[in-house]
Amino acid sequence: MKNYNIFLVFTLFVFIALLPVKHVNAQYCDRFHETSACRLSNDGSFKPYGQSKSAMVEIKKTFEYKLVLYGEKDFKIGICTEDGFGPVHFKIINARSKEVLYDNIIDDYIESVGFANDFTQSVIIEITVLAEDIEPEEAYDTRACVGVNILWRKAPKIGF
Amino acid sequence: MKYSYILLPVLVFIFLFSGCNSCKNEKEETSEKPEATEAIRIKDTLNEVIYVLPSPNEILAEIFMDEVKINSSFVNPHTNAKNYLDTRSQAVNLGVYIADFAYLSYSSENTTELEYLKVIKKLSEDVNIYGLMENKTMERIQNNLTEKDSLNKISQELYYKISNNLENSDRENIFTLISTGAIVESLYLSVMLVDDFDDYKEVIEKMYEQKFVFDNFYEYAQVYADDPYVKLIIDQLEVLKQTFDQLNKEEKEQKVVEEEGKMRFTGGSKFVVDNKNFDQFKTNIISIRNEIIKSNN
Repeated sequence: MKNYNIFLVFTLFVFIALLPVKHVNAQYCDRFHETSACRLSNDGSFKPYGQSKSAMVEIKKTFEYKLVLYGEKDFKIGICTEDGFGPVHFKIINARSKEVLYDNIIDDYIESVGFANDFTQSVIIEITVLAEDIEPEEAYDTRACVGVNILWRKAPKIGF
Repeated sequence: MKYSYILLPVLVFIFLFSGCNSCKNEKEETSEKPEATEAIRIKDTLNEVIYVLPSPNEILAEIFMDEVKINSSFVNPHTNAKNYLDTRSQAVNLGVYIADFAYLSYSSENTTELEYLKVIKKLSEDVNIYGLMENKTMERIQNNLTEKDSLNKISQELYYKISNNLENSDRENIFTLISTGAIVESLYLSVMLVDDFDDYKEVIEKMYEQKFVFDNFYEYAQVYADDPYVKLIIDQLEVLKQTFDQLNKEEKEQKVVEEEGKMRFTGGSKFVVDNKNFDQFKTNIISIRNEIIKSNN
C-alpha cells in the first residue's frame, strides 16, 4: 500500500510537471501590471486605466499593443518586465498616421512617461524587451512577462 | 490494485500523447493551406499585436461624462436570457448584459442589478466560463449594491476577467462575440439617452469618438474571421462600420509640444456633429442592437 502511494505521488508529479506551461505562464502573467514591479508614482489624482494589460512575449522581438487613448486626459504609461530582462524599448505611435509621438530611447529607456492627450486617438505602443544581459544563444524562444500599466485623470482646466 | 498500477501511467500517457497530436495537427493544417497564410500568420504571432478594448463601463463613462439620466426600460430585460439557446446568441448577449449592468450601476435605485448579475453568471457558464463569480463575489456585490463606484469597478473587473479567461484558453472567438454585444449595447444605451439634440452635442461627439474603439475591435475580429460565429457577426457589424466611416470629421495637424516640461499630444480628428447624421447613426445602432438581442439571431 505504501509503495503504491509513493508510486501514485510520483506519477502525479510527473504529470503536473509535464502539463503544457502556456496556461500556467499566462495566468501568472495576467496581472503583472498591477504588481510593485510596475508601480507608477501617483499623487492620488490618477486612476487605473482599464486598458492596462500584461502579456507573455518573446524577448528581443517587437510586438504591438493597440489601444485607444481618450481625449482631454492626462496619462502616465509604465512598461515593465521581470527582473533580468530589461531594459524595455517602447514607442507610442499614432495608429493611423504612424507618427511616432514618443520613443523612450531619447530618455535612455526610461520605464514610464507622462503626457496630456487632447484628442481621442488610437495608438500603438511598440514594445521590445531588449534583455541586454541575456546572450543571443540563450534568447531563442525565451519569454518574459511584460506589463503595460496606464493611469489617467481628466485634464485639469487651465486658466480662469 | 494491480490494475491501478497500470491504469494511472496509461492515462497520463494518453493525455500527454493527445496533447502532442493536437500540436502536430496544427502544423499539418498550416502547411496544407498556403492560401490562408496571411490569416494564419496573424493568428500564430498574435502576441505580436495585442488589442485591448475598453470595458462597457469605461465606454459609458467616457460618453456620459458626469451627468447621466438612467432609464432602466432601455436595457435588455433579464427575462430574455432564457431565450438564448445557442452559443453565439448566449455569448453576444452576455456582452449585452455586462453593458446593461454597467449602465444600471449608474442608477441610484439599485433594484435590478443583482438580477443582471445572475444572468451574467448563467450565460457565462453556458459558454463555459466558470469561476467568474464565486459565492464570495456575489456576497461582495450584494453588499456593494448601494455603492455606485464599487459596482462600476465590479463591472469592469468582470469584463477583463472574462477577457483573460478566454485568452488563456484560446477562445478569443467567444470573446469577440461578447465584445460585439458589449460595444453595441453601450452605443445603444448612449444614443437612447439623447432626447434633445441641441442639449447633447458634446455627448454625441463622444459617441462618435468610439469609432476608434470600434475600428480596433473590428480589426481584432478579423483575426478570428474564419470562425463561423465570428464571420456571421462581422457581417452584421458591417452596417455599423459603414455608419462610423460615414461620419464627417475635421483633421487638425498632429503635434507633440512641450509646455513647461510637460509633454502634450495635440491635434487629431474632431467629429462634426449635426442633426441629420445623428438621426442616421441612431437609427442604425437601434437596428443592429434589436437584431442581436433577438432570440433567434
